Amino acid sequence: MGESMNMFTFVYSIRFMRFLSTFIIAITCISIVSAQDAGRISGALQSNVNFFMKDSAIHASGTPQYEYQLYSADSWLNVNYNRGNFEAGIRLDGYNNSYLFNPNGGSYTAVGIGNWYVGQQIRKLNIRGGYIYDQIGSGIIYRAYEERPLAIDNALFGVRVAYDITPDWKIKAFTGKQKYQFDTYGEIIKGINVEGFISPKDSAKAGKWSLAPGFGAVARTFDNATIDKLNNALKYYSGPDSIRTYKHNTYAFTLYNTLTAGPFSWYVEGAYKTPDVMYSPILSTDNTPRENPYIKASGTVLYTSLSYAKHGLGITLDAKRTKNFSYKTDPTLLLNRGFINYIPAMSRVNAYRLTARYNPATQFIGEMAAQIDVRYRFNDKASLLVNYSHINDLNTNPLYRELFIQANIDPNKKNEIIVGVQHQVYNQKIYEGKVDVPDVKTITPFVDWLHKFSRKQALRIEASMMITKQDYGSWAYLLAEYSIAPHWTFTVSDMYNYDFNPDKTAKANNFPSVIIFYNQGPNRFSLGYVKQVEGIVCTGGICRYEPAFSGIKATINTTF
Amino acid sequence: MRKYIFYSFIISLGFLAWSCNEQEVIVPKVTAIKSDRVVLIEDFTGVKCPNCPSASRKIEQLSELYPGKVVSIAYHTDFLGDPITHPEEYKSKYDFRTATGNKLEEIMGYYLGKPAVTLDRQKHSPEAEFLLDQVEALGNIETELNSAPKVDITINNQFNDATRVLNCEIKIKALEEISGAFHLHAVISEDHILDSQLDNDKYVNNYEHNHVFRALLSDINGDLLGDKITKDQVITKNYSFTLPAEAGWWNAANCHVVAFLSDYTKKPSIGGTELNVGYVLQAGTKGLK
Repeated sequence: MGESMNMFTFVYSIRFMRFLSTFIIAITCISIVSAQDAGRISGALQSNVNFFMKDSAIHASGTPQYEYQLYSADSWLNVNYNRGNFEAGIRLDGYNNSYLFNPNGGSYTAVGIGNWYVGQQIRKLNIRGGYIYDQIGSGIIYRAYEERPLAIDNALFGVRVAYDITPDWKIKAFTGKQKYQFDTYGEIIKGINVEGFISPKDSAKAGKWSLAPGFGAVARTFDNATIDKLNNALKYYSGPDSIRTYKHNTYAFTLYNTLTAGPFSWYVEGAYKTPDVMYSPILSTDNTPRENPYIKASGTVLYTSLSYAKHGLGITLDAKRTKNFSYKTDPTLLLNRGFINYIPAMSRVNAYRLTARYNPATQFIGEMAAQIDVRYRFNDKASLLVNYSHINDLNTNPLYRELFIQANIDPNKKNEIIVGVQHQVYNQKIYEGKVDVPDVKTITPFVDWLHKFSRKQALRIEASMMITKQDYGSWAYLLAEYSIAPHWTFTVSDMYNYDFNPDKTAKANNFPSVIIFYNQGPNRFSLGYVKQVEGIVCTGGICRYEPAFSGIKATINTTF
Repeated sequence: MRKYIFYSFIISLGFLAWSCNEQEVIVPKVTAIKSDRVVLIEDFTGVKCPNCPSASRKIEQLSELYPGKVVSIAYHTDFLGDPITHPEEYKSKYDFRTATGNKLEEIMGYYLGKPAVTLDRQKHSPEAEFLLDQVEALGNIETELNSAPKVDITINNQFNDATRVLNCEIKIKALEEISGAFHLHAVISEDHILDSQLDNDKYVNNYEHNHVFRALLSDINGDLLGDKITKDQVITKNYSFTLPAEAGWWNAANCHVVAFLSDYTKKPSIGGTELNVGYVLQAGTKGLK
């Protein structure tokens, strides 16, 4: 099998290189033509460079980057082309000594084409080939997306066709393999999605209400290498953990709808997955670890989001129940690798340094969660936000609680003040896999004051304090940001572990940062000295361990 | 609208009907193996690693399933390997970490998480991202055991209780003519060390640590034996080592010499980079006493 696979890869590589050459020639020709024609080239560059300075006191040590490589860089350069109904794009990815994919001491170096695509609209038919980002509904059965800070880029390498059945109804289908770094996983993923829009035909009722229903199905077929890996684990299982058979194919289905009526909008989605082998390291009954971590089960998700917005009042109520809905291209893949789907998070996305320190990662095996978000604008000068998140496992064991209250006050044109407080109860055992640790209970007051000295100059002060007895103990954070429009921004900050936990650290560490930003039109440069505490970084409930950092960071971002 | 909902259900039913006809994957049963092949399992572990005892138990399960065919070494390294300092009642007596373990971890290209294991220092799946893989990689043991042994390893130990000097003679006998870049590796491991360990969700006092790497007898990359060994040729290497004074550990009765032969012409490639380790052709172990 290995030989045939290598042969396949070889033939495939030759074909790919031929294609790439053709692609580059085509893009070059198109570029020349576009100088005279209506074609448009756009793109973006993102480059993050790190220079490492070892600091054992904050655990910024013991990896190749700190010990001898001393430097790392991650870069992405996109170039896209559009002309009429034709579109094409290519992205060069470069990683030098990167710890992005493996924060536990890994070092990854490679440069190559990380993404390319071509597409054409032919009347009602849209075709696209290459690396494709897409999703069905809210992503519960399928989402191919890129989230660089989390090292997620699970684009589908394949073909997608979409057809407009009517102006309001569309069907699309896709097939391919999931991307990982410069390769793909072996599993075939295929799917279909029908979406529509229904509103009253009576012109008197037009705009009063509408429906946006949809249906989707996604199938994954295991390749032989994954079956070998699974069998190698499962053949030693016995007793109640025993799994003797499973299927090559797993199917996931979803049905969803958005009802909009006046100030109300109600989204509801239900999904089902056929029995599948999943990695489930925690027993659902009492949250203790399993000796044999793979289970076979069918899965369900129910998700709803109801929102109301009128006269300065906005209310959003979300609820979700998840059971056995881990859907990966290969169940043996760990961490953020191989996700086929995405389940919406049930907690606020916090932006301030300390309020964002503890984030609840979406639990794919079992979760019962609700969130309410209320915003009210009293007048042009004052508004209030109250958010509450409540997440349990399926046995009603608490996983996460958050109460977040924030007031925005603009007393005059020169000052903007945001003040608030956050209270969290965070199950560190479940979210970070730590043992014998209590729930982290925090109270975090914060204030953010922006003062405009003139049209060009402004100072922003952000101050917050996290009061907690658990984990590292209590923190204070202060940031001063001075801006001179349109080019310069200077920030100085420090995060200080003033009431530290002696079990975690020997002394009260400071984590200072000094960063200079320079903007020149679409170009943005930054250079700074940064010390950063280890933690969990999350986006939309998907999280990644971010190791401690000590050193110099430089970034370049531009669009064209 | 109705017709589109109808079409959706037809598509859905089509998927289901399709799946009903599918032939299932049948998980193979563990088979008894008659072989003289002895495999090496290297386990990168740590006393603060909650899932590592599960890996140790899995390795013991394999040792019981294939008696005399499995030799293992447990390297305690920095990641989750520093001694337990809290809670006080579970404070570690020993620091199992060694510079050799950390260096080997670096040579083998790190891992995504612990426990991280390697079976005969070989990548068993073309998709494997790391040589130090998840425990599931050990399921390839039957394939390894079914491969015919190329050499036979004999270990003779002479240990002097008074001086604590170990003289070890390792004989490699080729069972067929082999070509490669052969390196002999020899280490001392120790069993039955009782000390604290995080085991799943609880700390355990007096956890029994087995196969703990204690010292290298050979070079970390092994000692070069040559590039060709003819059939029935015997190569002998001698090592001498003085065991440190017994202080709860370094108990000679619990120590073993582990020897294995690797071929550096068969290096695993990870992410396009060749790691500087060789495929393990055969392993052996023998107690000091």
